[in-house]
Amino acid sequence: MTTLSPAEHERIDLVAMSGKPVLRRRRPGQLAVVALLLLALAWALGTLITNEGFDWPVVGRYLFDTRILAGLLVTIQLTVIAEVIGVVGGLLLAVMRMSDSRVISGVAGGYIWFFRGTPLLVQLLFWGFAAAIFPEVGFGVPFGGPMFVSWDTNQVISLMTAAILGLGLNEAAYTAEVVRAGLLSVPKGQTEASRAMGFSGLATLRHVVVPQAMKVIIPPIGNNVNAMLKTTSLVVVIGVGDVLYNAQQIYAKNLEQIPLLIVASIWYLVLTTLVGLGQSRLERRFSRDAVPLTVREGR
Amino acid sequence: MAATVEFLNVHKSFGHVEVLKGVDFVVEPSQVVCVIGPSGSGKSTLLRCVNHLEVTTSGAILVNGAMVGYDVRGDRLVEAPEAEIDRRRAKIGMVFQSFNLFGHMTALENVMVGPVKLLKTPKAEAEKQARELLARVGLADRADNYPSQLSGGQQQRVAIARALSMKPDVMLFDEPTSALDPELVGEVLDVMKQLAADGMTMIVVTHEMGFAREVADVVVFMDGGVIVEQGSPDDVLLRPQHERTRSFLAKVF
Repeated sequence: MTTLSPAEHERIDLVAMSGKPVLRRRRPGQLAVVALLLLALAWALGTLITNEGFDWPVVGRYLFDTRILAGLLVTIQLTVIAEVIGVVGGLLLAVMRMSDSRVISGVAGGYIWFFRGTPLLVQLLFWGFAAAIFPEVGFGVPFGGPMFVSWDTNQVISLMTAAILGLGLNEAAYTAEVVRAGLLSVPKGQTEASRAMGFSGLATLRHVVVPQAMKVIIPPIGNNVNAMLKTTSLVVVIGVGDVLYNAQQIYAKNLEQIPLLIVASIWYLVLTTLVGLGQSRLERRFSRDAVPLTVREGR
Repeated sequence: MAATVEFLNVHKSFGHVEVLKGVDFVVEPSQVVCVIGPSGSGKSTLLRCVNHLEVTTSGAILVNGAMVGYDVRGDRLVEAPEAEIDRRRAKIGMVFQSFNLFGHMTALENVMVGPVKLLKTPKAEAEKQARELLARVGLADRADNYPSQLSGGQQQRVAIARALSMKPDVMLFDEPTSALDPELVGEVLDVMKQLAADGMTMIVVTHEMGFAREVADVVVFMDGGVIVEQGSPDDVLLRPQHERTRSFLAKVF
């Protein structure tokens, strides 16, 4: 801060200056960083265009190839179904985890421990090879009792089902912790007020606790869906025809690896962008009560 | 219909700490009972035992002659089925110190949710009743505001309307004005006075001695988990018989 001497104070007309905008100080360091970044971007863009290896015409030719689009549909199906299993399972596990019964909470804890503690890739392979352990599935009396109906495992658990089970059951374990954090974020008084009115424990969860937990739950779930979209690509190991698998099938024949991997990546980017848009809409919906008073009245 | 509430030798322990050490007391229909006493005296716990938010260790609390959390089987008490407890609770309104309005619902929705979901009242009718109740607590123009957009006093008045929406036989108030700025206390007490005048049975745990004197039919002084003294407001507040009552009142007046 500069202190003006009385003499200077006489000389400088601060009042007259007040009409002009203040000059901002130049920041040479920031300028240098900007220049470097622009240079790097220009180089990257140049390479993308000039390097023949990217082979953009091939990318263009395969972007809307029916096999790629069919694979895309499988990727979307896997993501949606696995995520639904994940969220429903996660909610169930979170509620179990918070039970007073040590057995119930312990079982949920064990499940979470196991599915978070082993690689998803291994879990997927396990489901893919499930027939080796359980050649038949069906309904019957457990502990060696008679079976009422049973099927050949390989017929019931198709590769697609194996992929969905693998992804969904794993996702449930991760989502459980997200949901639990959300449920714990709702003050205890909300539950008490609801129970005091006569709502059952389940109705309290449904009408009072879960809607308010959503605000906390949705951002990490959005994050999970984004991750899930790309994680589904792991199913190539059990031969499910998702977008990456089909791209691999194409380049196995025409040897255009890079362009086809770009095709797959473009679609992943499109999907994750859409998920991001959906997430911000959902977040707004569950934060209705946070809208400031003035904005509400202005509408 | 106004209810009778009977406390019969009520005991309550948290682990090894006995908070209620045998409370005997009867609240007659349409009576307003104010429970006063130092913090830790067990008065809030006693209130929360009435609707089984806290589980009594022994003894019984009868609302309209029936227990909320228990049934009698032979010569002992057994816990009642959850659904049955929920049904009995619905007839007991409760107002909390921290309001506990449902944060994701507007004032109107807070007052509608009980009738719509629990009493299966048609939505249009429930909304009409809810608007009447909000008008009764002076908040007709705040129906569409969320709790976060209301002052403490307004939130507490909505909470009272919400409790009334279930058409309770008795209302429990757990220090309803303790979390309020001083200038907002009056508006909540006014609503409670009106309710008392309308003949509601009320049990009010409070530090508002002025309210107790003006509105209560009976004032109960609790300390150390027992009722030390009870009687008319003038008897307890102005002519206390017990030393503990006198020293408590000396601190709050």
